[in-house]
Amino acid sequence: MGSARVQASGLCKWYGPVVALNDLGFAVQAPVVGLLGPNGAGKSTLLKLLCGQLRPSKGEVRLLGEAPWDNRRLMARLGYCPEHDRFYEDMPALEFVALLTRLHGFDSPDAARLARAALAEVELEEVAARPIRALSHGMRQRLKLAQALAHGPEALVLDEPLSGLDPLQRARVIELLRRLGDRGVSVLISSHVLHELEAMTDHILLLSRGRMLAQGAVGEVRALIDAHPHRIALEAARPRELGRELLSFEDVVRVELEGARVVIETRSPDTCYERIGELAASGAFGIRAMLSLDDNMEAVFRYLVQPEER
Amino acid sequence: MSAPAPSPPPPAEGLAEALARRRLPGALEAGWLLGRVFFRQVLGRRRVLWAGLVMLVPLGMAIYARATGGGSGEGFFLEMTVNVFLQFFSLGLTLYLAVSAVRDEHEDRTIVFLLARPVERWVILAGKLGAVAAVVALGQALLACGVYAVAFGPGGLLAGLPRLANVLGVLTLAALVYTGLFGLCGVLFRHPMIPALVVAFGWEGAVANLPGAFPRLTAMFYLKSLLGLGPEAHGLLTLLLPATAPAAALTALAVLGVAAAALLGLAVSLGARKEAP
Repeated sequence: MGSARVQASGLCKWYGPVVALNDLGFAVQAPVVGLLGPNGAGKSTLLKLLCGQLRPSKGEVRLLGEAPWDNRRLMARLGYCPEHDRFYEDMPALEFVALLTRLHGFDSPDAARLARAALAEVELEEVAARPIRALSHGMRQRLKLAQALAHGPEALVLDEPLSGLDPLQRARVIELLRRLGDRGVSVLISSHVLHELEAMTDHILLLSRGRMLAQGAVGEVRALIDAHPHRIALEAARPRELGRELLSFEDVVRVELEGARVVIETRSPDTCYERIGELAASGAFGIRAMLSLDDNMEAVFRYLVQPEER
Repeated sequence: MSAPAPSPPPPAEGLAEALARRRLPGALEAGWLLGRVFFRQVLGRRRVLWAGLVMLVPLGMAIYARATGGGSGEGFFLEMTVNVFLQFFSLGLTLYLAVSAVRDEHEDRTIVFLLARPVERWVILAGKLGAVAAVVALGQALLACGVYAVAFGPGGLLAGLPRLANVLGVLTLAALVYTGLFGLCGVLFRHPMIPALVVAFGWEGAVANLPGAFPRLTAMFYLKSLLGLGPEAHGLLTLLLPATAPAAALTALAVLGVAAAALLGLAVSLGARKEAP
């Protein structure tokens, strides 16, 4: 294996009969890397393998050039933010971060100072003395980030760190992670929302069902997504007539009737939304509701992993 | 992809000096920190506070027995040691705490925060089990001193000191052996409470008092041997098998020492191989 910051070769992980990762191979040198995939894609498993929380069933994984399992030297350079929301609930936030920082070899005053600085970085200094159980979901999410940042790691592995944050907090965390990337910290961050990752990095790994689907620039993945037929559901008083009308649209490739619902598939969602808006405004078919069925990554992944069905 | 890895990032303000002073924690220091965390978590629970109150019951019993003339002196102190400390607290309290030390953080998933630190994996469990043994031994020692003061005091306090030292040694050994035993149950079983209860009150509690050579398979037999006591065999089996005499002190010490080291070592080394939840 070469000198990439994050790399894997022939990496497999299974839990009994369940295959979580299957023959994964990649090597990434970019400072900030996004790991994208729907729920169950194997993102958390891959991140846990990179942090030495799990052992590969087969193959090899390396972070900063080192195998992570039981690797004390690597752990000293690593910050990990897990996905789950579990803490020592009765412990005050500052004490929690300071304790974990002490385990990185800092003495008690240094650990307390670094913990305070990390809490300030994620805007939690005002609640530092509160027990963790009294913190809101967004605060807890930022607390996980603080414990990963406090000891000044060279690599950050962050499992869905933006989930549960409000838009303003998201923007601030994204800015913070970009800054860290600019400073040379290797940041590996998972999400199932492409535009979140897009704001931080140009390099993503696309994972689905434990396999690497694609890796590279965000633009390339975005192009795949834009080529993906978009599904829109409409509720109308006269669905049959509406379906007939929609079928006459050039860019609508398929129409399905589900009771009072009409589901269409289009390759030009923007044009289609515009024309549906006009139909709704005319009141001709009694359109009551419109819903995009593809506003989540899972739809895109379904499309990407089933090329034979297209 | 093949460019050389960059040098570490310029540290944030104040971090550079702290990083220069940083020294990765040794096993003892990390174990101490982790033990403290574990006990902070466990001792804060309401059921453990109740257990602390229950531990005061023997003291109340001793005071009552002394006041009513129901018991005092060495015989009474030994009876309390065997029936209350060894067969109840040494087994029950250690079982609860040692199983918690192994399982709770895995079930709560807080273990992932510890596994991402530069601490060897075996140290995490060793620190917690060390804390269990220390708290059980110290808790029982304090309580035993209280019962001793009531049973022997005030006139016989000096005369009873050798027996007190003997009891404290036995309780410490019991804490070590049972911490290892129940820690191992926690590592081996997905739901360890039931097997641990069977081991505690079925094996250690019942088999230790059978006639014949069966009690030699229990730690309780050797612990009682160090107090000069043999199994309390009753029932039909005593007609077929003679009661076993207590083991010699050196034999008992050797068996308990080896058992404690083996059980703790096995629990810690198997626990270190466990992956995060």
